[in-house]
Amino acid sequence: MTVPPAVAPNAPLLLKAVGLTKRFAGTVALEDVSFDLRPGEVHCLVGENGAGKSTLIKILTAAHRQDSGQIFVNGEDVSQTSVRARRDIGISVIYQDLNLIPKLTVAQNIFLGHEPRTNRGTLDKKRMYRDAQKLIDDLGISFPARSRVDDLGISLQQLTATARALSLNGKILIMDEPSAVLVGNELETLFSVVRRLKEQGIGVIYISHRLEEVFHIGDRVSVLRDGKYVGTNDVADITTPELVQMMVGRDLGELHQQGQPVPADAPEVLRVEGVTRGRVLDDVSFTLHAGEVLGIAGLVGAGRTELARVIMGLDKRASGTITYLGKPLNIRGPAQAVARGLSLVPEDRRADGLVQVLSVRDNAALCVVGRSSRAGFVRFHAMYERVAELCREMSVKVADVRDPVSSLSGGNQQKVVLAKCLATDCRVLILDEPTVGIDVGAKREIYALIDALKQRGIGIIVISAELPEILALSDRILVMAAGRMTAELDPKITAQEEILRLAIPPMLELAGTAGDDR
Amino acid sequence: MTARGTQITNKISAPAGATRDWRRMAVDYNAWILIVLLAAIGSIVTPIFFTVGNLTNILEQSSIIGVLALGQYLIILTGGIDLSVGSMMALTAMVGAIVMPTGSLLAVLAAIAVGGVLGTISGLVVAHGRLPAFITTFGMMAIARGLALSAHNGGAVNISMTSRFAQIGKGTFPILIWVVAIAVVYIFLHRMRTGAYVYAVGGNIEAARVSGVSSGGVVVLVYAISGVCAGVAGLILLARSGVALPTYGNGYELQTIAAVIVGGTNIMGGEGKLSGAVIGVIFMTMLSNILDLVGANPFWSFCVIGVVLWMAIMLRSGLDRARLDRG
Repeated sequence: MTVPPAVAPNAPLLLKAVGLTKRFAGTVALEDVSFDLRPGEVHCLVGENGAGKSTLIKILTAAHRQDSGQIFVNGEDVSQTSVRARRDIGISVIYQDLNLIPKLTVAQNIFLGHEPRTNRGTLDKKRMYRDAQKLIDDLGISFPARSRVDDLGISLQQLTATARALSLNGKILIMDEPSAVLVGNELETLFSVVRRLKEQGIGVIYISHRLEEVFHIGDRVSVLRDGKYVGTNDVADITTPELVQMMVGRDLGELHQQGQPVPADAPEVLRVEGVTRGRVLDDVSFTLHAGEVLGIAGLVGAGRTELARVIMGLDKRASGTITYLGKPLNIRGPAQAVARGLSLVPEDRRADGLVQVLSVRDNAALCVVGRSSRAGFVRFHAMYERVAELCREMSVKVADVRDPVSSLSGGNQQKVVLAKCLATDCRVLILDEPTVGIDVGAKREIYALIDALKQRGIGIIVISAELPEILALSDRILVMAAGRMTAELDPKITAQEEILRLAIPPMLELAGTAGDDR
Repeated sequence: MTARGTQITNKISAPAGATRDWRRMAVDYNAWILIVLLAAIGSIVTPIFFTVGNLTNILEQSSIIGVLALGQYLIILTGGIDLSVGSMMALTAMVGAIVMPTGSLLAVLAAIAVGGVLGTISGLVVAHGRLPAFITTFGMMAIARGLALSAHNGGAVNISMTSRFAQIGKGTFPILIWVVAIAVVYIFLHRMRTGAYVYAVGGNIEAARVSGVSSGGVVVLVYAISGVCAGVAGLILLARSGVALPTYGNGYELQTIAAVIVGGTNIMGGEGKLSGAVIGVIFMTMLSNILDLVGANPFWSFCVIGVVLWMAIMLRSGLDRARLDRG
C-alpha cells in the first residue's frame, strides 16, 4: 500500500481513514484503502466503474461496516459508530438522485426530520423558512425557500440537497457525481457553490467521471482501481494523461488476448442509420458484421444505453432506420426483437437482467420458454436440460441450477444473463457494461466467452465505460458523446487517452447529456 | 452509475446450498404448518371438529371463495390485485339467473363470458392504460356492482331448484368444481408457456420485458382468468342458493386476498405456491368454522379472525427473516 503524500503534515485533518477493507460474498470491493480530507479542501475521488468509490462512501457514512480499517473524524476514532452518529458528527452525502421529496417545499425538504420547533412543541414554520432561506443565500445562489421542489430545475434541486446537508451541520460533504445530471451553465453554479463551501471551511469529497472537473475544482485527487488505492496527488502536480494512466493503468495483455480478426467478407447483420430519439440520441449511424465485436465507448449520459434500448425496441425512436439481416427491423417491442434474434445483456443486472426470486435455470430459460413450447405447453425437460448445459458450458458456479439466482455472486449472475441470451441462438448480442461490479477472474471468463461467441459468427456490440475493456475486446470502436457518434477508431492504433478525449463533450456544450445513462 | 457495481455485490445473500435447510422448508410450507396448527387446536377445543361431516362441510363452504381465490392468486403473483372479484361474482350470478329460462348451458356460458370480458377490460386498463391495479379493479368493483344492481332493478332473481343446473350446487359437487379449477390453474401455471411468464412478470417486469416476454399479454390474461373464476363462483353460488342477489360477494375481495396471503404468496408478486392459495382459503373457512362450533359470539369472531390473520403473517415473515439472516 502506498501512503498518501502528506502535503501539509501539520494541517489538522477533518477526516482520516486508514486501511479500509470490505468484502462482499467473495468479491473484494475495497482493499486496504486510505483516504484523508482537510478543512476547506476539495478532494476528488476518481476511478472506473467498480473501482470501489461507492463502497468507500458507504463505509464513510457507516451504511456498510468495514471488515477492517479505522476512520477518524477530527482525530476521534469513529470506526464503529452508527449511520446516525456519523451524520451527527458532520458527514453528509449528496447522492446523484438527491433523495428529495418532490411535493414538499425547499424548506420542508431541508429540515425534514429535524424541523425547528416552538417552545410549545409545535412546528416553527417562520423560523424554518427564515433559516432555510439563509442556508440557500449562503450558497450564493438565490431562490425562494417556499418553492416546491418539483417546480425547480435539477440544478436548484441539487442546491436544496446541499443546503439540507449543511442544515445537518455538515462539515464533511460527499458529492457523488454531482455533475452527471447537470447541463451547460448549471455546472458553473455547482462550482461556485463548491467554492463557497470551501470558504466556509467545509471539506468536500468530490466524485466525478469528468476529469476536467477535477482540474477545475479540485485541490487533491485520489485514484481507486479495482478496489485498491492507487495514489493521491495535488491537482497542480499532475496532468490529465498521468491521471488517466493511474485510473486505467493495468496490464491489458494479462486480461485478454485479442481474438481472430473479422473476415473481410463477413456479412452485415445490423445497420443503424440516422437513429434519433429526443435529446438522448442524435442521428446515430453504424454497421455491425457477423463475427465482429463493435465497442461503443462514451461517458455516462452519452446515449450508449439508450441506443441499445432503441435497437431492442424497449424505447421508440423518433426517426431513423434499422436494418437487420438485410431486412428493415420494424418491431413493436422487445418480444419481437428477441424472437428475431437480437439479445441484450442490460447494464443493470439486478433491475433489468434477472428475476431475483426465480431459480438459476428459470432465469436462464426465460427467453426460450416460448420456443420450447408446443401448442402453448412447455417441454420443460428439454428446456431445462438445454439451459443447464449452457450454464455448465459457461461454468456458472452453482450447486444446483434450482437454487435462486440471488444466491450467486455478481460474476456468476452475469453468466446466467449471458446464458439466457445465448439460449436464443441470437445473431446480434448487445452487452451493456458486461463486467460492471465483477471481479477480475470472472471478467476474464466473460472476455473469453465473448471471443467464443465471436467465433460462432454472432455480431456483438460491447458498451463499456472501461476503456481497457473496449480496447481489448473490440474490432472497431465507436465513440459517443452527448447522443452523437463522434468517432470510429481502430483499437490497434488507438490510445485510451484519445478515446477519453473524444468521449468528453466540451464543457460548454454539455447540453443534451442530462440524465443518467439509461 | 458508479454505485451500480458495488450495489450489485452487496445484495448477495446466503451461499448456494445453504438454501434448502429447514428454515427454507418452513417458509415454503408455511401454509401447511398453519393449517395443521389450526386443525390441532380445532380438535382440542371441540370433538365435532374432526369428523368427516364437519371437514366436508368446511370444504363445501370453501369452494366458492376457493374458486375466486384462484384468480386473485394469479393476479397477486403478477404483482397486481383484484378488488372486483366479489361484485363480479354477484353480476355473473345475476346474468346466469336472468338467462337461465332460455337454457342452462346458455346461462353458464353467458355468466362466464361476462366475467371473462370484464376481467379482460380490467387487464387492458392495467397493462395498457397504465393505471395501478388497485385503482382499476376498485373502479371495476363499482362498475360490476352497478351492473348487478341494474340487471333486475336492484331485485333478486329466483331460479327453479329442480332444474338440472341446480344439481351442480348440491352436495360435494361444488368441491369437485373447485378441484377441477385448481387442476386447470395448476396446468396453466406449471405446464404452459404463459403460466411460466406469470412468475417472471411478477418477479421483475423489466427483466421479463428485456427477455422478450410480452408482459402486457400476461397481465391481461390473468385478469381475464380472474373474471372467469368469478363467473364460475357466481354459478356455484346461484345453484346452491337458487337465487341471485345483486348484493352477493360483499367483502369477498378482502377474504380472497387474505387467503392468498396467508397461503404464503408475496403481496409484491413473483413468489407463492398454488397449494398455499388453496390452503389459505381452507384456513380461513376452518377458522370461522371452529369459532362457530365453540359458539363464539359472531360479532367477536371478526376480531379473532383479524388477530389470527396478523399472527399468521407475522409467523411467515418471522420465518422469512430467520432464513435471510443466516446469509
